[in-house]
Amino acid sequence: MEVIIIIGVIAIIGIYALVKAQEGTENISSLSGSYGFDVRIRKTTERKDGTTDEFLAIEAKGLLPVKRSIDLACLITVFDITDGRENKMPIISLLEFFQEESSKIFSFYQEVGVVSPGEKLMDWAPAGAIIPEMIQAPYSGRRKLQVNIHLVDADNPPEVEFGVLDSREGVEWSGALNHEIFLPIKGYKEAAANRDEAQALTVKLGVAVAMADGSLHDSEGELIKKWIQKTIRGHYPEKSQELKKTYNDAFKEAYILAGSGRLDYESIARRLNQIGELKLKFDAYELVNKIMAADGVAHPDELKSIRKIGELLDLDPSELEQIRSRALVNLRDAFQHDDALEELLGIDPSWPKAKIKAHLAREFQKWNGRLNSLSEEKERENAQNILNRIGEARRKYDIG
Amino acid sequence: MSHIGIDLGTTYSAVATLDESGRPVILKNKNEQESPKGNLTASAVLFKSDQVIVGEQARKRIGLSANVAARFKRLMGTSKGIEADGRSHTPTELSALVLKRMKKIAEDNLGQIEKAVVTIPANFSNEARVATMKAASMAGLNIEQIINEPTAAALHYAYQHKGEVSGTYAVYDLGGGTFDISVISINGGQVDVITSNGIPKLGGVDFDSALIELIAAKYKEETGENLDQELYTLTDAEEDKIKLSAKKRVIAGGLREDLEDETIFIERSEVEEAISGFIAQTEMTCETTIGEAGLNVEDIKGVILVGGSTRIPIVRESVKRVFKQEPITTENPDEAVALGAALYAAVDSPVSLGEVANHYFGTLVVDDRQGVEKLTNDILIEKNKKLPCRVTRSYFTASYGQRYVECEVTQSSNLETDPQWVNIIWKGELGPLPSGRPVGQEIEVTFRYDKNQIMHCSFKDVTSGKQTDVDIDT
Ligand SMILES: Nc1ncnc2c1ncn2[C@@H]1O[C@H](COP(=O)(O)OP(=O)(O)OP(=O)(O)O)[C@@H](O)[C@H]1O
Ligand SMILES: [Mg+2]
Repeated sequence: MEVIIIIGVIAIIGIYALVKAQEGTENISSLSGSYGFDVRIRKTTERKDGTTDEFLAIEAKGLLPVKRSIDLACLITVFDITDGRENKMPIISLLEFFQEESSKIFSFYQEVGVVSPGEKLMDWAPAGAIIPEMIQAPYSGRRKLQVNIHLVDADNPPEVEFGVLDSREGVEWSGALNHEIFLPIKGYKEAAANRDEAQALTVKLGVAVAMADGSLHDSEGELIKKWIQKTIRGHYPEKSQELKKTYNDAFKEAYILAGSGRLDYESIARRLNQIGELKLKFDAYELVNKIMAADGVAHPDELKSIRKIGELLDLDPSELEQIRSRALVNLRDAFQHDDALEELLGIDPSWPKAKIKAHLAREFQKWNGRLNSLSEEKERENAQNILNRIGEARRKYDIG
Repeated sequence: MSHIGIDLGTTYSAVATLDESGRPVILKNKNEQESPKGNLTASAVLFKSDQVIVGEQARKRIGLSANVAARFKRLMGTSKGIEADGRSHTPTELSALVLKRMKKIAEDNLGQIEKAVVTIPANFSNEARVATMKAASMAGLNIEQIINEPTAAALHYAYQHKGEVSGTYAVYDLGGGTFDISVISINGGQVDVITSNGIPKLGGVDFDSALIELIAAKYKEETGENLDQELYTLTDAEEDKIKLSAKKRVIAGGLREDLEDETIFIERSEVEEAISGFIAQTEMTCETTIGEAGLNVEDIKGVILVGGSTRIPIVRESVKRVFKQEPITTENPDEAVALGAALYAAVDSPVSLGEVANHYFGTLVVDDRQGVEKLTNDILIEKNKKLPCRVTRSYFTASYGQRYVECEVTQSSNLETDPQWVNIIWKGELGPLPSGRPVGQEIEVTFRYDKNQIMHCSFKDVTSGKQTDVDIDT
């Protein structure tokens, strides 16, 4: 079953309304295939508050190039060929709907339905779309794209990896169109240097939180390793090797420093805040929370450093709260350490009593409401435990 | 043909109807062994050879016999099985046995029963509510409506003071298993709910457990041994707890024979200390609820105490502290819910009720406004919205030629955006939709919540007119 409805696509619809109105002829790349089957890319623009949004509509027309009745699907892949066909580079999609299964590389797959030989598209019909603001080439600016359109057997579709099909079997028809385009988003090669550093910093923060209680648990080390593996996936093999080394070195360095109490996680977090994109900062915060929960116990020092990291990364508090809450319900016993109470509940004992009371009541309402939504027995118990501890905390701060 | 109201409690149940004069009355259980006083029947089930015994004899055997099941109301709506009589029973089956007994009590008093209303805690999950309906139909009851316990109690209060009272009241309901607090406006015979909250697992049985822990610690100190669970059962603890509401100090009951000349004393203050964390939880919930109603404590004209556990002195003190006033007490706080349910069940009820949405209701969508796609819970109907109400909102398809749209209806107690914290109470799909259409086809979602708490949801593809509908009894 496919796709949920989206709320943020208002912009896209706006464009579409205009596409229909203009039905323009400019900027069309098209290709006539066999059987009189045609595909084309039509670039349309829309002026909105003085800005220009580009939108590439990939369209098809004519006699469908099939030799038998078949459940047909359309598969679109894109390369950057600015430096020539022989140096083609992948394109990354920022929207998950337009990504390969195992990577973030652009790929668009859409079932057409059962068609038979002789069926014809009388008018230009939509086959796919590329939104320049949602894709990333190696560099930003004017780029030359190669758009590959494949009609494939939906019952036996080829797999795509890095934009390349694993076999020709099940491919009924293929065509390629070149198209020049302006890409506003910072290229991944440009961003890569920053990103690589940001992710190395993330590894270090992970080690810092894991070692906050004095030692690195197997489960914690395992999590960081997994994170590294996931992060380097989707790169070309050489790059992936290079990154692996960078991150492993970061891990070792941080481990040694932390062992002797010299790992300064605050300046690491500050640096990450400077250079990391929002997404990377969230990734880092998510990782440190998972590490905190990895051994099933929340250590007060872990909690303290996580709170500090969240502050330094300058992230939206409500988003931080969501990530934290998810980690909390996964703890074996959230309150094994008595002195973790304040950190866990997010209270500062120096606050005025009234503020603490109000904060606790809010936390209580939040977790009490969440109890019903938890399906796992263990999670329910944890949430129940949190409720009981909030009750105790209230007593502690409720004098008079 | 009679109409009845049943309070299916965690520890005790009661059934009521309106008498010839239109006054709500409790229907007595005439079997003294099952119910010594007749008005309440313990919600405990004893399996004895081929017999099923509900009531006092079963309660007495809690913790002593492997053939007894009790306190299953808290598990309603979960898949947890309860072992008794060498078999596993679902909470729904056990509740059905209690309801069947309550139905029989009513029939012995009234003859055939035409219709019944059963009560549930205000913040029961949807699963628990559905399970209660199922239990009622398994018991052979004709249930058209379910009503919240504090609301039922408010109806009863309004009835008792008909014409005389008007203003905003709080109903504080602390029973055997759950705590509920509702803020309600009463105007003569008209009762309008403003907001409700509850703690699903907080009540007398938790106090009983706390008392057992206390005794176990004392026993260990005295004898050096661990307290055997059969020596001092939950039933013993309950009885001592009840005594401590009247006395400052009692001798631990069940232990008498075992300890011979030694006795263990329990001070009321010790129990108060042991349960103070629970009381603190109720206080926070009260404060939140007053705030949610947009009120200050000064706006609350009276606090109506409901539920057996409100007889405990520190509970009353806590209420007084939070609401800054003496609460309104009645002689039988554990009967008000059944009496109110009977009023609600009646054909020509002297009181009428205006309800609000007890939860937030929404649907799951992908939000890509920040450039990062995120599955998000989008709320359509807010908690505390007056019923009936209706909200329509448009969403858009996410991909080219999208032929199906996943449709969900979610429920949550708080304003949650993270799908992790919501219950999906219905799931379906809209489709097949016409093929070959571009991204961004408008899908109109309408939630219409009617007076009987039925949610009518529709997911409609605007251009093709195709739509998926569902009615959910919430
Ligand atoms: N005098 C008393 N002092 C303390 N507790 C009492 C007293 N009388 C009754 N209780 C307690 O009140 C509880 C029963 O109250 P009630 O019948 O209102 O609850 P219920 O309807 O069974 O539970 P719920 O409404 O939570 O499902 C039991 O836990 C009982 O021990
Ligand atoms: Mg009750």
